[in-house]
Amino acid sequence: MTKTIKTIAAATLTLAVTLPLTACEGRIPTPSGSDASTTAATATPDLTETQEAAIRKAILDAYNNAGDAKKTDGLDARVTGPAYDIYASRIRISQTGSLDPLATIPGDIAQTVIPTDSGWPRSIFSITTTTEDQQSKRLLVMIQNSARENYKLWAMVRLFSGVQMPSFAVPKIGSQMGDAKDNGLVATPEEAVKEYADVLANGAKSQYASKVADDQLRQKLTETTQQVQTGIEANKGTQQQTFTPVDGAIHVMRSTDGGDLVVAQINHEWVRQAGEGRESLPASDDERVLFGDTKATSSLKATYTIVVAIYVPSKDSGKQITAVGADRQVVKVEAVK
Amino acid sequence: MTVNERKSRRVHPRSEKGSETDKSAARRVWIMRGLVTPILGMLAVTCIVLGILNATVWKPSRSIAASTRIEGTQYIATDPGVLPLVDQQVELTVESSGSDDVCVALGSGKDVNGWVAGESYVRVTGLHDWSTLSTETFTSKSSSDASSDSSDDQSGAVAFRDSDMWSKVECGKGSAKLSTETENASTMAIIDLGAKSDATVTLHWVRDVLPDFAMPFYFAGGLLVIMAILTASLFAMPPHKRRKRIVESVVHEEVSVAEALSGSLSAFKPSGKPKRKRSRHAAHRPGAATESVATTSSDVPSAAVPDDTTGSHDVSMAFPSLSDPSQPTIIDPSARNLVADQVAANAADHDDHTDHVNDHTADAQPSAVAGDTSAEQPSGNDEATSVITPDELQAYFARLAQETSDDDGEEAHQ
Repeated sequence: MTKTIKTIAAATLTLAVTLPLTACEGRIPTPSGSDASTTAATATPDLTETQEAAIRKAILDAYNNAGDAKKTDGLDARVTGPAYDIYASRIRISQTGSLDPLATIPGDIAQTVIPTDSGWPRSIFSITTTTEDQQSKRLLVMIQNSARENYKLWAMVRLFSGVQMPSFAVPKIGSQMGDAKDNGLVATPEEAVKEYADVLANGAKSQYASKVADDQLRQKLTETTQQVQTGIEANKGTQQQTFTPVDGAIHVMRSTDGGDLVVAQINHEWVRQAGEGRESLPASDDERVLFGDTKATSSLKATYTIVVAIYVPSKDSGKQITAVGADRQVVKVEAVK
Repeated sequence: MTVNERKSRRVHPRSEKGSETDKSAARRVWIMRGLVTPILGMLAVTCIVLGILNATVWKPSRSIAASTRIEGTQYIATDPGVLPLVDQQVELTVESSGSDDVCVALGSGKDVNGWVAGESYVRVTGLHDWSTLSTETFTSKSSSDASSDSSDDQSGAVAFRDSDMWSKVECGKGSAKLSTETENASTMAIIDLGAKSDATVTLHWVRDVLPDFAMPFYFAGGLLVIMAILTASLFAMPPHKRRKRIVESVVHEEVSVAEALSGSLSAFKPSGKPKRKRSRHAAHRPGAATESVATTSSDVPSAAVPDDTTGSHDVSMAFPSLSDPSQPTIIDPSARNLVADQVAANAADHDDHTDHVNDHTADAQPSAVAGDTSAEQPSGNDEATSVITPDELQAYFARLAQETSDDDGEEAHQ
């Protein structure tokens, strides 16, 4: 009898111990990705392609709205830097006519380059398709200055026809943003822009002429300068042009072939003096609109904003610094005494 | 003593012990069937019942909701890996005590960290238990500096909900709810309460895959059932019944190992070859065998073994007396010098061996290989023990071994 009682007691005890253990939800999981250092160490793209498309759409909406309204109100929320200067100028010019077709940005892209960098500022490089009127592709540089700001269009560069663009990592992998002082290239991006500006100013006489390949912007500038020179010579006047890279106005993206794609702003000041007591007048329609009713003097200063995309190859590649695209717009015309 | 006499002597004690053996066997059966089997059976039933309970009543719930109350903060962020902690599909609910707009957003770790940089915020680090979230307050060292900094660069700053960085944003007055299927473990949720206030954060998952606690119980139950059946049948059997089979198989194996060895050796030798080999050996060292055997009568068998292969005529010359049947023969296996016998047998056995090798390769070879211990006796006393063949003798030894162990076993049980 006691044996039976003991057996029952043992069985009850066993059950009492076992039962609470059985009625549970399982082991509490711990976050596997909680190690923040590992996630930070593996370079992941800052954005998905969907996010890039959304950002680009928001930017282009603001851009096109301003263009349609021919007003720059609210444009600064999504457009900044040289892109803002150029577009604001084009909008102002368009107020007397229609918007320059060069300002058009297609809605679709051919390629996007998304950075993997953790810090700020960040920049996205996107290349659009050709425009409806078969203009060349646009390279858009969208930057985010800080985490609390949104991406803004910093530069729109019209790619030269037939240029060979460097290759970049696919958006799912992401590319590394470069620095203005990147080494291992034929010149640091900052120096390359200076050398390019020097070549723009001095042409074939520049000390860097051999380092920089010829391109459509250089040809166009030479051509314009020649035309103006002809007129000035008739007036016995003079002209001076200065090309100044803007400090800090540079964005760099590292390509997979070792070089850097550099987008930088160069300010172009063009001072023309008329001789024989004559007035110096604007040289183009755009200049004329911006000059407006200002009283002309013997001297005129036109300020152009140039955004240029330059490919700076790696040191051992044996290639030249090559401009792959540019945009140039007069932003200010004034009479100087 | 003849073999038959020994047999009868051994059968006698066994019959004496018969009743005791039966008793112990009965006791064994009782223990196995009356005690061990029911215990195992009970355990098996318990396991199966527990398994069924775990699969039904105690089944882990599919829906897991864990929440926590957070006080005095504007930003709350989940750590990477917290959102998909239980299931990919998660619903995050925030209820703020303040009246400001509450927003929940999803972003990558670096974006979230970028947004809250310089601010103090609360991290949701995981599950404390199945219904509570664990949290940790992160205090920024530069939070006071940052507040002045952030006021400086407020110009370009955007509202939380308008940031480009979030892949998904949900906002609401006082509370917000966001459902998502997180694919990337580094995705974090960030909550903006608008201003410093208290809030309750709830993460709700619906589990696709539930932990299966029933299967281990079923498995253990199954094993216990098998064990119960075994204890009731096989282990309840009297041990000698099982052991007999084992001994028999061992005996059989002993023979078969030797057979296999010699058989495989003989298979390599063509039947004609050994003869030639032997004659060649004899030609090479005609006196070698004679000398070694004659000088060292107490030599170990191994020294004499190679001489087996020497010519039979040499041996008969060295030991004419052994091959001479005129000597008196004493038949007492217990009082024999086996070593001396062996030496003698080695010499005298050659004729037999030659016959064995040639005629009964399968039977006689093992005895030659195994050291000639069994084969010599009959061969040395051919006439006296002619009734027992080597095979019979071997069978006898096997039986002896079995019965001895049987007796031992019985004694041990008693």
